[in-house]
Amino acid sequence: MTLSERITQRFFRFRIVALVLFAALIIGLSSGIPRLEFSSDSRGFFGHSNKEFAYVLQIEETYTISNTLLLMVVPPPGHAFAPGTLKILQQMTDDAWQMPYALRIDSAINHMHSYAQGDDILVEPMLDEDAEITPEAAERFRELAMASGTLRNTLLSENGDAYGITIRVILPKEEGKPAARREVEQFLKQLRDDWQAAYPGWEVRIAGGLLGNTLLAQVAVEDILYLVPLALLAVVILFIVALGSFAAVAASVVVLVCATLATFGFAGWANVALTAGTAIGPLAVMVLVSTSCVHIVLGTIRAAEAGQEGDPFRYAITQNLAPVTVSHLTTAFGFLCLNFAPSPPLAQMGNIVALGLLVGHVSVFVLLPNLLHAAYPRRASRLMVSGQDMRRFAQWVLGKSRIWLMLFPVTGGLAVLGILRLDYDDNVIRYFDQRYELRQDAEAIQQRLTGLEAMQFNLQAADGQSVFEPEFLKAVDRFAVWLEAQPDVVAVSSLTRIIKDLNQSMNGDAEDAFAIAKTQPANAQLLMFYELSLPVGMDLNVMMDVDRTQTLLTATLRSPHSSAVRALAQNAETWLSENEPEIATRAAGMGIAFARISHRNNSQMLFGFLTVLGLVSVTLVLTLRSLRHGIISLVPNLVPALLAFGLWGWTIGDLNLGSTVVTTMTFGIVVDDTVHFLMHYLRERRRGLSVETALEETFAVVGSSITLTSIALILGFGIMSASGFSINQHIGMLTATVIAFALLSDLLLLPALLRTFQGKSL
Amino acid sequence: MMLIRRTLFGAALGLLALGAGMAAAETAEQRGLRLATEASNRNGGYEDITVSGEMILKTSGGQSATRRFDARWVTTGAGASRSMLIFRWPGDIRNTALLTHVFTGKKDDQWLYLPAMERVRRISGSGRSGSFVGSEFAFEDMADQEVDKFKHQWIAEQNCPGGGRCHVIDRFPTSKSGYSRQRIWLDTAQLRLQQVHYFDRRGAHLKTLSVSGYRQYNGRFWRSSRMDMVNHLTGARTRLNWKGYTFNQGLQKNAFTVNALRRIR
Repeated sequence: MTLSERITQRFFRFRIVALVLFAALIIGLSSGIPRLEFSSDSRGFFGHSNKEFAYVLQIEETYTISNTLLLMVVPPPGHAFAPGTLKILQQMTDDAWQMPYALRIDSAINHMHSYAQGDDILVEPMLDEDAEITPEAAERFRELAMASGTLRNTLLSENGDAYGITIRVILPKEEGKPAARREVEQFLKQLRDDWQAAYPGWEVRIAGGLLGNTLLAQVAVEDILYLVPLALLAVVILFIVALGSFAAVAASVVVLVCATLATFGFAGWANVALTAGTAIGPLAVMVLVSTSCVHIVLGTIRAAEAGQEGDPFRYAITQNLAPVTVSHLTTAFGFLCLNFAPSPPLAQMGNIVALGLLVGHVSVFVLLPNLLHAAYPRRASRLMVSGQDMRRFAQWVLGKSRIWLMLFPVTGGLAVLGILRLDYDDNVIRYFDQRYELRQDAEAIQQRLTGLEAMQFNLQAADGQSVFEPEFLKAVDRFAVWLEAQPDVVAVSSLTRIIKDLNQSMNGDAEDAFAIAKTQPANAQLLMFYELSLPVGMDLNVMMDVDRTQTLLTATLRSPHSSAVRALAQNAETWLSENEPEIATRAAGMGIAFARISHRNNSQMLFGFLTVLGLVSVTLVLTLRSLRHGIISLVPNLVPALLAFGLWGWTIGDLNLGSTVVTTMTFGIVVDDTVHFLMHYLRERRRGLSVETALEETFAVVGSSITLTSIALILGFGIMSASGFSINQHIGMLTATVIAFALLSDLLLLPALLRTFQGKSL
Repeated sequence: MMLIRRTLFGAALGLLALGAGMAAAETAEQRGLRLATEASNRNGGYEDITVSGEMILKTSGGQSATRRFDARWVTTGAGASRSMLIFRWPGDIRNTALLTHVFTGKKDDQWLYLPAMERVRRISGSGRSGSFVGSEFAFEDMADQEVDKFKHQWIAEQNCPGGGRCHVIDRFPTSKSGYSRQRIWLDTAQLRLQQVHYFDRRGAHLKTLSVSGYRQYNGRFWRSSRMDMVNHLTGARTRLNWKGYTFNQGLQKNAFTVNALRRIR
């Protein structure tokens, strides 16, 4: 009696005990579901080891850092500077001050500008808050605004037809934060509704990094509510079509639901706060476990059809115990290796799915036998291809071996070219697709008004010297001027600009006084003058530390893609170290941290991939008991990812954080079909069959089941790609593509390889 | 002169309040105004003050920095005064001086003298309500507040934050201010300011000022040696230490002019 037979026997003998234990396990795990939490913090995508993120935190310790919300208000065309329009804009600015946690509201109305008047320097808002807006005042405002170097492209659009209102808020730390965020969002929503009702003809758009956070949790919930049931439905339909047995479908659904519930429950017990990006994990478990059900149900059907002695179901279990266990194991390895990802949600998803698979594995062997023992399906649906058809298909495939052996290297070469075209695009707002108002608003604002990416440079005066030291300021100024001239940069906010403006005003608006003052005290005193003129909520602590030894320079970028953000950061860092080595620093901010997150993740995931490659290969060699076949199996296991990424490169082109884990994750999945295929093939070969006959038999027995399971996986992951969150979209779509290619590799390439490299021993 | 006028005014109000008290119960507004006036009479009414201030700024991240200045006030009339703040530290703003003329019923005037450029420039706009040299204090938080720039409302009698009993009074600015309301705690014993809650323009509690270390000068004027301001929004805080109070040493109001600014050392 083989090991599989003995284990199967035990299963059946102790199945009541097993069932009770299993029920306890599922109930125990599922009771964690009420503990499930949803994370609404995009910062959760960074691990503690992420350098860029650590730098962001360091800067936040030094300066007053607030969250900026930007409202774009577009007056009816042609009336941008009418007194009535300005009156409304003034009212809107006032309304915005009611924002909870507001530190400061800025608009073109209260924007400060300085100018000389006789012996006085006036630092004033653009429009007097208390005075009536006469046509003359409106005209003066128009002239000032259109001439202002600091207003255009930030709070006023380039051609003066749209206004911006920024709201800077400081949210309470830690536990109060989610509630505070909801308050802020609620207020914004109300504001938009009120304005749209009160000012017909005005367009209102809202943007802000803060807003993506709540949407993260919302998308997670949406994915669970819509995509998970949809995937279940798809699998059920597929099973009905393919298996044609009510008992089999019903039993499989019970297995899937148990595994899925247990996975959610585990996430609850493990205190993993689900977020868009992890919420989809249980869906993956459901789809992956469904494939095992297919193998066993189809095995039963085939045994019944072949008139196997005894219980065909028991026979199917015995036959599939090893391959299903190995494939679950390798799939779990793949997901566990996501722990190499420095981004916590990805690692968490790996663990959730790996545990789900474990539960799924148990439920396939404990639950399925009990449910199917009495009423196993006796024949396949008429829609299923028969063993005979598959044999003919095998012959056709083998007849064209040469073509496959040529085709795959050629497509592989094309794929490499496609891979070279890949680029990363990571941005919290662009993680959400066009169906979300947040994304639509962000694009409208970028198009019309200003950029939404901020890049910061923390510049330190040498050895604790003052930032007011003229040489330092001149260096900062040269950098700011360089930065302003870069493509995509719409505005640069720098201490030096303020000093130069004031110095000019101090010297009667003389042209040549638009420069850094000559001495440290002069610069310090100019800034002090400015500081004393500032209204409530504005101070220089946003760009200088209290000790006055470092200054923060902020560039606003209008960038549709994070490659532009990376390029600017790289260029700026290089420019600084070459031209101003004394103040050289790294680019900082959430924008660049996200823009670089995929690179960081990818380099770590390389180790993850090598690990899974090693683990799976060893598992395969041990299972197949053949080094040669272990090595051969690598080809159909590696080719799919290559082809999928190549195709992606030629068609879509952009990857993101989600894509970085796909190779590692799918490796464990695509191996499954190879395992089923090779184990069966070797069993036939060891029975003494020739390569060709063994392949025909393998096609006849496992060909239809790996086709069916692959279709189930493609469907399931394809449904995941319907998520509104691009990390899920990419994981889903790429995984589905990889699996499609894996099916082709197993059916077309693998037989050719086996025949070409058959060798003498097994 | 000024002293007499104020005292008379206060006494008249007091009598009025007393009379009103006999006729009918004093309203919360009347009580608030009476107490504020009395506090102002007890601790105001000086001719001039000289004092040194030291500010210790702390960010929520724990960074700190120090600013030092000398200050002088001279009373020029009812609700009118002039003041001069001369910065001593950090070194690069040494001798930078801020001159303020406070009037009744008219916007204040403010000038800054910049010694490095030897220039005096008027500060326009709302210089009194923004952050004072990067601290959590606004200029208006540091100076004595004129009673007539607020409407008062007595709220309750409570324990003071630092012990003892306090009157809690809300005051609403009647002229331009960065705040919509201030809630002040005056101890019942001496009517000294113990604590202030500042509410921003949408009515949220923005800052808290705690006043401590009171000493009496000239047998009359109570002055604190320490003020702690916490900004609840940003988490930043500033400690303001006062040292070397001197009262009524006969400062002349013509030492508080734009011309005098240029002679600062």
